[in-house]
Amino acid sequence: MGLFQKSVLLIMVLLLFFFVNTGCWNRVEPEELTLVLMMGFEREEEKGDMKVTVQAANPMQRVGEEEGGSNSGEKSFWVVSAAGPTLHAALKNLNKKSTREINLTHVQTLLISEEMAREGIEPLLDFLQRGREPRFIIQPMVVEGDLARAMEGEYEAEDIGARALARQHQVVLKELAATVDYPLRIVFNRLSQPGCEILFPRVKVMEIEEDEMSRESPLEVEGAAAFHKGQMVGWLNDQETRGYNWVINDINRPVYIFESPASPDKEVTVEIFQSSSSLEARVQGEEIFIKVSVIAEGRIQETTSPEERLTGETGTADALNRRLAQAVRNDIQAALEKTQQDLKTDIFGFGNLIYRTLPREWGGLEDRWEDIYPEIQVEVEVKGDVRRSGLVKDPLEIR
Amino acid sequence: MKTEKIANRQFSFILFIMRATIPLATLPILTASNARQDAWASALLIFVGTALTIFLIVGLGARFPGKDVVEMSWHLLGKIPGNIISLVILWSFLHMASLQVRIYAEMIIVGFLPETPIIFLTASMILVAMTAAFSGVEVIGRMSDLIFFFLLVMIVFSLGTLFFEADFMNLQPVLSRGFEPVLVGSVVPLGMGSLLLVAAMLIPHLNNPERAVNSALWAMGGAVLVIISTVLLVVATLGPEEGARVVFPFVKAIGGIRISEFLERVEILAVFSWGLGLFVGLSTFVYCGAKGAARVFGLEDYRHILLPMGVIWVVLSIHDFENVFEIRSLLAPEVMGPYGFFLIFFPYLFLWGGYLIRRIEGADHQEKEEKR
Repeated sequence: MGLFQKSVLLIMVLLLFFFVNTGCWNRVEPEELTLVLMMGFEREEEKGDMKVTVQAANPMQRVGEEEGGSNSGEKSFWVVSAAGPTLHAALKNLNKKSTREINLTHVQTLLISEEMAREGIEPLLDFLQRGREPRFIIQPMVVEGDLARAMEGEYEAEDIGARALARQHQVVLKELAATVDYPLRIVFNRLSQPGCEILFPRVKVMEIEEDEMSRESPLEVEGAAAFHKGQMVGWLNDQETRGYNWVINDINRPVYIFESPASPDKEVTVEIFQSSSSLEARVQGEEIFIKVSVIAEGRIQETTSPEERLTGETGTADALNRRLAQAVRNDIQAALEKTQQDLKTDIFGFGNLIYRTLPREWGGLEDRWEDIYPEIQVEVEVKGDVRRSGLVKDPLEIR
Repeated sequence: MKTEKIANRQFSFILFIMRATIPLATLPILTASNARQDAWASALLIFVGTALTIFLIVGLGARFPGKDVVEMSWHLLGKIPGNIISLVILWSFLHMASLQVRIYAEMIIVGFLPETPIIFLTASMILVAMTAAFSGVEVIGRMSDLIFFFLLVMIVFSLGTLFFEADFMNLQPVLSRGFEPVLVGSVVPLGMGSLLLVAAMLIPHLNNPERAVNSALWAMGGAVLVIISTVLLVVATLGPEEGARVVFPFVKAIGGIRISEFLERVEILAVFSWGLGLFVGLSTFVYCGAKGAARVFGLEDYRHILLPMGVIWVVLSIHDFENVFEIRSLLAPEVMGPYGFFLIFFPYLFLWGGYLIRRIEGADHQEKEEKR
């Protein structure tokens, strides 16, 4: 075979690949898919079946936008729901109402109704893990309020509700530390390990009145839902959630406001920039001690007191540090009190800490852990460290 | 016929790729054992065990540098016992290759192409491997040169992505349940170590057969390093219990992390490198199997029996297992352990026995030469 024939053959083979490359049995054209971005699980009221609501991108609307067409007031997503005895069956039933195949590979957020969460999330878990489409990066959240309205929530500055909610969650986590980061990967890991419980972020459905100009976002991410053995037992508010984040060392940039050391009726605002925390467990007979050590490094972002003059000599910096530490300690204590006295669920994973670091002692504690947890002595040691004061040295004095 | 030659480096790459592909796939060290967070310790045991296997297999092969395992067994045990021993080894090639291709096809079906007939996947993998084997061992060697670097880059990158999401607290408590689970955890990967038998077929093709043990040890060192870092990072990202519960832990772990808003679902890296590694592995298995079978049946050229063997291979890959549950039972320590050990030790006990008897008798020609 000459060089020419060889290259012709090669080109023909290459061309053949174009036909084969698109796949054979599982050829799926993107146009034939409904890309689900957010799922919602709840119980159907009549028969107690699983009810699945999905929010999917509306491809027609996207095309219109790209071509510069006017916004016809159509939403760029659509919401549909169906029920069935199991989750998979319910999802299959969605196909009755959809013109395209339902595809879950792009789901980012999973909303669970409060009722379902209190009943227990166990029936949901296998579905989320066994199938090939839902992935471990999905963030589950518990909805306080009507799930259907949460699924329909429209944001002013974002075209797709699911995306907006996912971003909102990230922003709240990063800027306020008032929610928790619990993708399915961590949920499954924690549920499968001894001595720790889980939290899901809380989504509040806001009441917006139709006729007035809306200044509210339809949903708010704040606080967390605490679980015990896969059943939701109560809510944590944003302070308690922040305290939780301090303990597990997942804090980003919350803000603390406290009395100015120089003038008691004025306030100083400190934003946390760096932080670290560590846990240590000690078992002495029946007594269990946990030591939480936290270092919080902050910057002054605002002060309303003109007397705040920070130099190395004055005691002001020390006083600021003490106050910051106290503010952080209050958060942590709030979270501890809520979970030890009220909810009695070990969301911090103190049991897991003992299992990890003192496995011999854990053997004797494991069965009674539920009773022991509320009695644990937790010592909270916070070191506040205000290091920087922004772009001015001293506050402005008006003469 | 002139013997084809490959460099010792290529020999190392081939063995490394074959061994490192298995942890990328099912990570039996984690999924087929009870060692959980201590699976890394099993990996250390695997290194020791594989090193012993290498001394057993490659060590004997290196003493007969011009002979592959079939010729060697004729030489040491006589024609008919030698053939019986060789058939055990050839069976291990056949079975290991069909097992590996089946597991890969199962992953593709479970994870990506649920409706594709499995025979299409296994048959196309085997067909490609046969093409490589048809071209000879030199081509396989050069291919491993190329694929090794692809594989390395992909493994490093995918492990790197896991690193940033890893929580190494998941590795605690260390060795809290004693050494028994750790020992049991090393059984299945060691049983899978019967793939090292290919080395016995490749030795006559080496440039420098005397240094074969050295090359094989380097390969295993590298592979164990990959196994350890994979198991550490998978446990640190998925958690010990979860990592042991999922079928394809590495793929699941990579799919379960999000590097940034725009970069996710890099599990394709794992699947792709697994596929490439499997390709080298299968080609070597096919080549060694066909070569050995041709030798046993007294054929001039192994290429004539490639196609019929390929057909048997495809059939075996389908009919070995009715369903996934049977693969799971095969990969259990109490099954795979004795089976793999039988495949390695049964032939080599006889071969070493024959070798030592000959040595004591002083009848071995090479032995005399060495003494001079």
